[in-house]
Amino acid sequence: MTREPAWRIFAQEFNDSIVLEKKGEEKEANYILTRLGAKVNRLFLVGIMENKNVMNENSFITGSVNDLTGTFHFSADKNYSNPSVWKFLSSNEPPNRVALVGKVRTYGESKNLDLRVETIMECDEFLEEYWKLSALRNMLYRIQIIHEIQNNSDRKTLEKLGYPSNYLESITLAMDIFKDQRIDAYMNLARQLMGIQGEIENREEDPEKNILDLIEKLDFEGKGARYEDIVENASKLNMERAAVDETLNNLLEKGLIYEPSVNFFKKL
Amino acid sequence: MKMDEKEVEKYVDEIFKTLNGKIGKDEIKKLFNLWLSFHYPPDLIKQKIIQKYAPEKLLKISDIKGEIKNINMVAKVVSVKTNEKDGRIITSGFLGDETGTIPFTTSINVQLKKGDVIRITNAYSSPFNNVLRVYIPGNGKIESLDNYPMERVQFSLNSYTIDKLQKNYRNLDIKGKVIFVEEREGQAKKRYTGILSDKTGSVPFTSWGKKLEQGKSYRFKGAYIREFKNKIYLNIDENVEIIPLDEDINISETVENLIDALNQNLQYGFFEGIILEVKDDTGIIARCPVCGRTLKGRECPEHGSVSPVNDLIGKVTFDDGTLASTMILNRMQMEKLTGKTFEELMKMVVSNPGISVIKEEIEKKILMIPYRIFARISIKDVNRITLYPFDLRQLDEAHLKLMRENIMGMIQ
Repeated sequence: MTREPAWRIFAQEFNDSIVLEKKGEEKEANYILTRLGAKVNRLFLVGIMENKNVMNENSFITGSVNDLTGTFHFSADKNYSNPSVWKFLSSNEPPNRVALVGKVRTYGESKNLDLRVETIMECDEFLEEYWKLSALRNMLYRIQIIHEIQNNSDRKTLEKLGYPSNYLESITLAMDIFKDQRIDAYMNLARQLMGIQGEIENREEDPEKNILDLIEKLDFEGKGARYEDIVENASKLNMERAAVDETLNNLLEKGLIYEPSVNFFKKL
Repeated sequence: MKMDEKEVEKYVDEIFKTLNGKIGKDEIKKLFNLWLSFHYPPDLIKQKIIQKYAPEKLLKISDIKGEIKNINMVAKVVSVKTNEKDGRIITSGFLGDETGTIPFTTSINVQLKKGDVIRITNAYSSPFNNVLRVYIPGNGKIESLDNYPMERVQFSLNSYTIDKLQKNYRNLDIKGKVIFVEEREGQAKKRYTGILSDKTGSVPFTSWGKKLEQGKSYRFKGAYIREFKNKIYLNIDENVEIIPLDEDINISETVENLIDALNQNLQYGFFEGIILEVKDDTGIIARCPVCGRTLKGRECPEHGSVSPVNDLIGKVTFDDGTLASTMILNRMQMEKLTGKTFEELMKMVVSNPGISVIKEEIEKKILMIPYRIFARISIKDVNRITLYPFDLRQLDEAHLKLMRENIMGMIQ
């Protein structure tokens, strides 16, 4: 069996992905396909381990690692993990900077995604910086291929140009499935990570705060903010319509906003 | 083309001497300046005038610098082949004399073989694929000469950058830096194998008898390309002139992706990645003392019962994010990476029976560390990519700076 390469992918892209259906073969690996066309089974990442939970009578540990673009969730089972992984996770308390290699895994009915840890160890800022740069390089390379495909270059031409066939295959698939690659959002992410001011200023991680801010900003002559305006502006913050709906519902439930008229929202 | 009067006089004198007074100097000068006004190079003008007034004059290969008619020459057949085209036999190959070599083609049905000395009459030169070629048409003549006092053929050297080298390339004039070299015992004489690099790429080489120093830059005149197992290498035999250079030739340190190495069937390259795993078969191994083969017991499949010698080997997974590969570390590299000598490591093995101490030692040092390596790469298929590094360097701030610059170029 092929040893899967350890992709370097940012959490934002990792979480913007679908789980590929298995074909039903024996010992088949789990794959996710990201919006930018990375077909990932194994992942290498560096970030801050923010929390861990010891479960099932001290035999299962879950936790999360943040890489500045989002959160990765991981898990390790005492009986199946490498002893050094278990030793590290049971003896180290977050927060700490870790380098982690893991395989994608889905669990539960809703197919939640996490990483089964293969290797984890404490690391320095140098490795974090190296990881960030190599993840950026790979992401930009795939964006370049997306541009090539969008410019109507056919597969054979691109293969002749030296683009790897497995990249071309998974990227084409991602373009079919996701339709919109949101390249602007990912290019902004790249610029932000490189310290160049992107178009989005100080993007907040908290969606509720983002939507509250928008409602205030988009208020139309004191009548409140129009739903379509909120959705349109939220998309610039990389929030989909479904996420906006969910956040609006939460805010309504919490009583932080109200609906003065149909499809208008106002802060209380 | 502007030429100074003195230069013109010099050419006119030369032409006058060669033509032996057939036409006057003023006439020559007038013709010369006429050609010059059409921007012809002086050497070609000289040949054109001589050809016109003394067509019987024998030309040397170095005289053929442009399109010339009425070429008469004596040359040696350096190589020759025949092709049949539309029912006609076409003979082509290379001609040489003491001034150089030139390709030729003729439709005259002659039996030529390598080493023949021939007189060619009424040929012409014309470029084909940007290379000047001598054509001997049907109204020309090719005669074999016996016992003609021919001087040694001067092969014109072809200067290439390393990335342009291809199989069958000969008479090369190549500059490069020896980035790796090792001595091999040959049957008769010592040979040195290694890798030569310039800013365009790398090529393996074999030098017969002459030692080359690692890290030094050289120029090789007369080297040629050999092919072995579908891969090319630069052959440097005793006839090659080796000139050590004072300059330090810049080499390409372009990092390749492993996936591109697989697609392009690369032999050597710089790679950048992390070591994810140290494999269980890392440690002390037994080798046949004669052939160096790794043994499972005391039997060598080739040399029978032997007393094996101990050696140290490391097998690790090197991953650059595009592919995973197995990297083999030799004894010296293992000693350097662990910071312990072979003897020290052996002692540790003996005093910790049943525990893979060497694996643990090396894990402490290299796991999850980013490295830039220069390695030979052996590809059986996507699952069996093996790297044999010549040079392992932990990435440093300078490398990150390069990566940053590269990325900046992609996003601005």
